[in-house]
Amino acid sequence: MTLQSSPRAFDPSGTEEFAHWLDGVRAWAGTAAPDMSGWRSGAALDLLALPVARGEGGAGAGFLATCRAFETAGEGAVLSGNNVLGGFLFAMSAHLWACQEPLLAFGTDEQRAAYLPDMMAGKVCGAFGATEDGAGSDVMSMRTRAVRTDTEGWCLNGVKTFVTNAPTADLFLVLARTSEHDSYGSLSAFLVPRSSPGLSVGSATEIVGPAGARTAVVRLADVTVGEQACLGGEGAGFAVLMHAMRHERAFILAPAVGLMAGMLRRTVEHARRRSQFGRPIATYDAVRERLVDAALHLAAAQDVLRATAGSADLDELDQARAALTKLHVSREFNALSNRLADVYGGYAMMPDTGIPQLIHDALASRFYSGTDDMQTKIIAEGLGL
Amino acid sequence: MTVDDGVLTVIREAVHKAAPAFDGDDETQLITQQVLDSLAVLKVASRLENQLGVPIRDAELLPRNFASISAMRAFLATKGC
Ligand SMILES: Cc1cc2nc3c(=O)[nH]c(=O)nc-3n(C[C@H](O)[C@H](O)[C@H](O)COP(=O)(O)OP(=O)(O)OC[C@H]3O[C@@H](n4cnc5c(N)ncnc54)[C@H](O)[C@@H]3O)c2cc1C
Repeated sequence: MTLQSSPRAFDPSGTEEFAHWLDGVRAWAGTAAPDMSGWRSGAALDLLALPVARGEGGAGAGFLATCRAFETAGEGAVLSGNNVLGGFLFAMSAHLWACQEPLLAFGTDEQRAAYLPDMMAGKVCGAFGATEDGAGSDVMSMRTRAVRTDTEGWCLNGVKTFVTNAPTADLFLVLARTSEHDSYGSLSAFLVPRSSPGLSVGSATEIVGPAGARTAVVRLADVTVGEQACLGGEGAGFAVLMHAMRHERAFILAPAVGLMAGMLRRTVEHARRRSQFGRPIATYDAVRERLVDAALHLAAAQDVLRATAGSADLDELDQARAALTKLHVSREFNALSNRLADVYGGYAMMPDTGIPQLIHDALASRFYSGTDDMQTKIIAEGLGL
Repeated sequence: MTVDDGVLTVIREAVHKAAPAFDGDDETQLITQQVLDSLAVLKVASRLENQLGVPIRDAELLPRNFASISAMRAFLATKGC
């Protein structure tokens, strides 16, 4: 990939060059392996630099262009039969929205200089640790603690669960309690390198979706970090969490929208090829209706995702809109998966069709970045309820 | 004691709306005394944004900027209010 074909070299908003660059993303997704080689080749295309401003060394493409790129990658993966890439794109998105984006917003010049270039280049993989065994939806009840050391630093102790990218991450953005009060300023965020003594990563947690994403438990046992590891300063943890979740909820499902588009096309092909009672099942109204319903679910998901990304480009993305996007796209994702499964009949149970994976990926989307119930609460708040 | 210039009234109203039982003054420590919890801080911030037409970035949602009514006034002054 030459520099000329990178979005750094042109204005990506709807140009022919951007469409051409997206062809490269589609081709990458067709063959990329869900490992660090795939991570780095994706980064070489600028996938991890897309939303970062040019002044920060990024591609300056904005949120809408980033979503289009991840949608394209998701669709390209499915159409090439690279079924496990959906979750890998989710993992790249987790790095982008829950680690890199808070670093951009809250990082000092030194913190950004230390990590951002390597994160965008795919040399440093980021992970975000908020959830704990006893603190899921009620994340504010977390027990991981950071206490000041005598030497102008912090000592962290605790256990984080469900940490996406943990098996391969080089950098962990960890939330910890720095005050015993259960108040707004009681959490702080820390940038903890994997090499820190006392940090250990458990073996990958067995999950059925999203395929290609890996999560693990991260243990912090007397991990000491310097003052410069604290992101946003003492007490900024909740603000960091809100920033990460606002972006994650808004954009984490961009690859899933691509999976939806790809799987709809594949299922249409199946309906045209598969014959019963002497004619293609695509000629039966019941089957056609399911595929039309799936097309409606896809359009609804695409429209809301892209409108949200457009509003974020205008700096108008609030928590309620982000939560609404997550809830809506996840619902459409689940509804489409079930519609497509019916078109396959018994073959829906075969992994090769991609349907079992699609259903598991859609199920997972109801839980990560906050469950449907949590999104509903935030949207209700936004309505003034 | 800060002179009320309208902005202060908006801040006081926002705090009362988020914590109706609040009966302190402009110097009362709203966060350490747990007058405002996490959700309440977000509510105050969003009301200030709407009423004063000034965007507040996530990186500005720091405890020190919302520590008291006076602290909020000083913070908003840095944003031209
Ligand atoms: C694939 C995947 C990747 C993830 N990656 C990360 C990551 O990288 N970093 C990270 O920190 N976390 C991560 N998570 C964790 C995720 O954020 C949590 O699973 C999520 O917040 C829900 O918490 P929980 O699983 O403990 O469920 P619980 O909080 O135990 O919820 C169980 C049920 O109770 C409901 N419930 C709970 N409280 C209420 C309430 N007050 N009102 C109504 N209903 C309620 C929930 O909605 C849900 O239906 C990941 C999760 C998954 C599945």
